[in-house]
Amino acid sequence: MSKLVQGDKLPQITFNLIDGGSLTLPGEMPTRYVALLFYRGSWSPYCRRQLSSYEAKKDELTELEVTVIAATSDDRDTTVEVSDELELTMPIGYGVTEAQIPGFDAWYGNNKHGHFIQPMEFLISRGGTVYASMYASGPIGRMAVKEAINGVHYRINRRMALSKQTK
Amino acid sequence: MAEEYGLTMQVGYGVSDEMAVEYDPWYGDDHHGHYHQPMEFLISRGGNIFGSMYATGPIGRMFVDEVIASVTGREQRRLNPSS
Repeated sequence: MSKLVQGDKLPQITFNLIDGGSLTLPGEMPTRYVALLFYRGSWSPYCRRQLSSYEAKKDELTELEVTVIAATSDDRDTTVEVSDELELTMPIGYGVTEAQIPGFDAWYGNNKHGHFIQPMEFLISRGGTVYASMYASGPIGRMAVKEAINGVHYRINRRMALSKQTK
Repeated sequence: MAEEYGLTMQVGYGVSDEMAVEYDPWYGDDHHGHYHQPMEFLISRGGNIFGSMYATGPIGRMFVDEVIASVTGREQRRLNPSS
């Protein structure tokens, strides 16, 4: 088992979304880029702050063709509750199990809240290619939204520069 | 760089692959050379890892505010185990 690094293809995964639908990645990339944020659970204040920080930058991310997708092992009711409370508009996959994500090589935690996925976050580009990845073994360690935006800006600028060179 | 950013922390330099092998980092190779990708640790008394983060590229760090929140929480639990 090995963790996903830049250049890897995202393993296929189908999320059950809290709005009742489902989404399969990388086949159904909604935009050119996806920021995929696996979080520990609604009980983690670190995770709540991370989700809110991406929500606060929604307009900027949309302009850059980045869709934020969050995912958790929490059940649907708990996930709907946190989404409502934090006024999140991003799609959120709930009830993610270990069996669904063997190719991600996640770290897991166990505490009074149960068995959960530790934070792992990915910036995915067209075709489902991993552009950036981050794994934390506990609550501390994330992809800062500001740096994710910088990363996409850099990639777009480089793409445009290469395009000019070839013309 | 330490001077440019006014850093007062201690900074170790020249860390080689051999020195860091037990940390199992990811590496990068580009026009800047061969380097460790970001890996960050919060270490508690006795050298125990309290938090760890590995990024495969430039995006992914421990936020300082979260480090402070985590240490604050740990200290509160230590001082008031029943809380």
